[in-house]
Formats: sequence, structure tokens, C-alpha cells
Amino acid sequence: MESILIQAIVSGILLGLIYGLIGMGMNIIYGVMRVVNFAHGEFMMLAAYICYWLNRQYATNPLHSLIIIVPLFFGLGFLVYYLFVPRLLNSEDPEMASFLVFFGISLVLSSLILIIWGADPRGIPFPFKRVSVSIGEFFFPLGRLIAGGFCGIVILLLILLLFKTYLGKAIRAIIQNREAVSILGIDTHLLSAFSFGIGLLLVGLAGGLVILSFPAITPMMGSSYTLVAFVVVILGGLGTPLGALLGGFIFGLAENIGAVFMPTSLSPVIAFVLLITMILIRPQGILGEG
Amino acid sequence: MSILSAKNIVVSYYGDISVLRDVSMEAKEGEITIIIGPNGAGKSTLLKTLYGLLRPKKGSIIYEGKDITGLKVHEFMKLGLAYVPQSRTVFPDLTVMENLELGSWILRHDKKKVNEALDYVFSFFPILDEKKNDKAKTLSGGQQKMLEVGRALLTKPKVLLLDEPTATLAPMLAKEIYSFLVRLRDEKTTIVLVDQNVRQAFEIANYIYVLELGENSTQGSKKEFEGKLKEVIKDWLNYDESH
Ligand SMILES: Nc1ncnc2c1ncn2[C@@H]1O[C@H](COP(=O)(O)OP(=O)(O)O)[C@@H](O)[C@H]1O
Ligand SMILES: [Mg+2]
Repeated sequence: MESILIQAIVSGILLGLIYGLIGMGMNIIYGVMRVVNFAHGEFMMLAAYICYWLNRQYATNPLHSLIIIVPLFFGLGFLVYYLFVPRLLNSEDPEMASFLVFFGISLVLSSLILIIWGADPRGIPFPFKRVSVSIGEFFFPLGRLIAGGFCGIVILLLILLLFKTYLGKAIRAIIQNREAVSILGIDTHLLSAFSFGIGLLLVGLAGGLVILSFPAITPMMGSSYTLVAFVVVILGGLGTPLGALLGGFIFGLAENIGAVFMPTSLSPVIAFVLLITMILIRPQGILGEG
Repeated sequence: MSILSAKNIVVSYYGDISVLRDVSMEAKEGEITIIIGPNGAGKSTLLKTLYGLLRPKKGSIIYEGKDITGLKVHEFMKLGLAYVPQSRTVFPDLTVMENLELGSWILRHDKKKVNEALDYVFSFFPILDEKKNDKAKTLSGGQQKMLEVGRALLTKPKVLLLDEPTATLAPMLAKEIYSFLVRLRDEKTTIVLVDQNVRQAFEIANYIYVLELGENSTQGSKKEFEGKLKEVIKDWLNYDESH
């Protein structure tokens, strides 16, 4: 029992890192633009399918595919920003308008993937020689260890960006006061587009790493990851990038520890229970300001 | 010589209702120009338009002889202007130092210049140096105002626009801000000051504009206003002798 629990905790932390990465992307986008990216999970799914496709075509290791995913999704963020967001921010009800636009994008992405790759679950041959590593009496799946470790490094780099560079400080500042940033000589559109690029880059990375951690991807998985992003963001606090990391850990741990005590079929319920509990007791999230 | 001026500007927030109707003003180089008037006269709107946050429907903004009407807000600091709005604009969860660093955004590629700029600001407001590692939200109201003003000074602007910088400050602190503005003028910075503390602003002013209901009412040099200030402000609603 004890060893199962320890294994669940480690898995939970590893998963939490991935969830944190997904949520941090969503939170940067929301914080900077006050736009909710309802297509967040679908963007992640797109990245996963691109990694799948590269693997089929060129037998690329998903970790190597990330070299393509990073610039591609960063650029996609710029494109999506300039195509939609300035118009949304000028509309009379930006939040409602952004809901419609990004819900639309999520449908387009899901359908696109369905058309190109069909409805059957897809997977890639495991790219490493061993499936799991044992430490003492414990066994850990290697895919998740690598994915989690990789997320950890990316999150560290992101924190360095946010707290040590001018650009990152400007991102934290624009989250707090958009107009004040513009009067200091900072181009808020360019900064927002950059932030959208970062947001999609993070979720793109998560997509590539998910294909390492889970055996199969399907055109339906997008919405469940959008839900993950929501739960993580609401747990940690809307618009606070570091909150999402915390939310990721809580969700990852709850899911894995929950699975020890409950049938797996109940695990989606955990997301909703966490979501509702948080909204009832602290709607602004753990690190959010009320 | 005029360094910044508004020529016959018409400004509205939305629709046909004009908040400024044919307003003109100019700031002379190295002087303190004050804009006074009752609440809702359009003083803040005028400053926002001078700094590009609002685009005039008619008329133009001229800076150093060039028409800068319609330029994007983020271009203004590069031109040598800076603006401290009436509303709070510190970034509360960033440290004092981080707030200041963002004020030096346009200098960011030149570390030496940034450090010089920081020293320059700390020479005016030593308290900011003492508290540089504290989050801005832990500062008192007066200190936050100093941070906003300091943040606008990092680029050593030629023209500084200030909207009611002393509105919420205790009298002692307000006095400090006014003597700071005088010092800044002595260093040849042009200042455009909107203020409700009419008497104190008048003390340091070179030139005065009075706005009423979105229109120029009276204007003149300090000398021309001497003695008739009371008369000018007599009819303003809400005017309180104790101000
Ligand atoms: N953001 C805004 N949207 C619409 N109307 C505004 C806005 N800001 C100010 N106004 C209106 O413009 C007029 C002038 O306001 P303002 O320039 O703030 O005056 P002052 O600074 O002289 O008190 C007022 O009638 C005010 O209600
Ligand atoms: Mg005002």
C-alpha cells in the first residue's frame, strides 16, 4: 500500500509539471489579454499530432520534434493574436466575443485533425530502450520521467524569463496594468503577441511531451486538456502564471492519489470536484487576489 | 519657445459628445505650464490627448515643430515626453526596482544608461532607493506617487506631463512634490501640470490655462493672473477655500 502511494505521489508530481505547463500558458494568455483560450487543449492536441506525424514520416523522436514545435507554435501564437485579439479587445463584450472565437477555433482544430488522421486512437512506438526505471522497490515509467523532467526545465526557464528579463517583467506588468505599460514606451500589441506566442509554445511543448507519457492520442482529447487547463488555472488563480504551476501539482497529485483509492473510471470526476470546491471556498484561486 | 502645443483640438470618448471643443494650449520650453479648472472640465482629457492616449477628431498636437497627432502611445517616450496619469499606475506586485526598470524600457539595451538613470531618480527620491526591493503595493500612497513620478523621469524627458500628482497626498508630501517640480524646471525640464490644488500650483507656475466645460476660458502668465486668481476660480463649483 505504502509503495503504491509513493509511486502515485511521484507520478502525480510528474503529471503536475505537465499540467502546470499547460495552465501557465493559459494563464499568461488570459492575464495579458483577458482572453480565455477555449482552444488551449486543441492546440496541445495539434502539437501531439504533429509529433505523431513526424514520427510516422521520419521516425522522429518526439523530443527532437520539439525543435520544430517551439518556433512553429510561437509563430502560430503571433498569427492567432494579430488575426483575432485586437478586434476582440475592441468589441463591446471582449470576454463573450473571445469565448465564441476560441470555441470556434477549437471546433476547427478538432475537425481538421479528424479529417486528416481519422477518429482512431494513434500512438507511436516507444522511442526509448526501456519502458520504466526502477529505483529500489519502485518502478517509474520512463516516458513520464522524461516528460516531467523536461517540463521542469521549461518551467524553470519560464520563471527566469518572467523574473529576470525586461521582457518577462513587462509581461508581469501588463498583467497588472495594461495602460500603464503603454505609457512607458512599451508596444502593448507586440508584447501581447509575444505573450500569446509563449502561451502556445508552452502548450505545444506539453503536446509533444504528452505523446511520450500516454500511449494514445485521439481527436477527442483536446477538450479534456482544455478542462485540465481550466481546473489548474482556477485552482492557482486566474492570471497568475505561478499559481498555475501550483494548481498543476494539486491536480496531478489529486488525480494520481485518487486513482489509488477509486476506480479509474471515476478519475474525471476529480477535476470537477476540485473545480467546484475551489470556486466555493476561494473563487480567486490560491495565489489570486480577491 | 513653444515645445509642445495643442491646436484647436476636438476630442470625444464616443459618439458626438465632445469633451474638448476647440481647445488650444502651448507649453514653453523650460517653463511650468499649469492647467486648472473645475471638475469635469476636460483637463485629464487634454493631457491624455497630448500624450497620444486619445486621438483628436479635429486639430493637431505639435511637438518640437513636428505634427505628432495620431502617433501611437508607445512612441511618445522615445520622442522625449513622459506622462504621469491621475489614476494609480504602479505595478503593485512588482518590486520598486522592477517598476523603475520598466520605466527605463527604451534604454534597456544600454546598461550604463539605465544605471545612470536610476541614480538620477534616486537623487530626487532617496526613499525609492531604500525600498527598491519591496513590492510596490507595500509603499504608502505618497511613496507610490513618487515611484510613478520617478519612473517617468528615467528617460530624462524634455517634457513631463503630470495629472494631479498631489491630489491624495498629505500637505507635507505635496510640498515636497512641488519643490521637486521647481528643481526639475531649474534643470530645464518643461512641465505641464494639471492640478486641483490651485494655489500651490499657481505658486510655481509660469503660465496658466483655465479650462471650463471643455473650452479655453482664460489664460495668462503668472504676472497677469496675480490678484485675479480668486476671481477666476470664484464661480467654480466645489471650490473650497481651504484647498
Ligand atoms: N473614459 C471616459 N469615457 C467617457 N467619458 C469620460 C471618460 N473620462 C472622462 N469622461 C468625461 O469627460 C469629461 C471631462 O473629464 P476629465 O477630462 O476627466 O475632466 P477633469 O480632469 O477636468 O476633471 C467629463 O464629463 C467626464 O465625465
Ligand atoms: Mg482629471
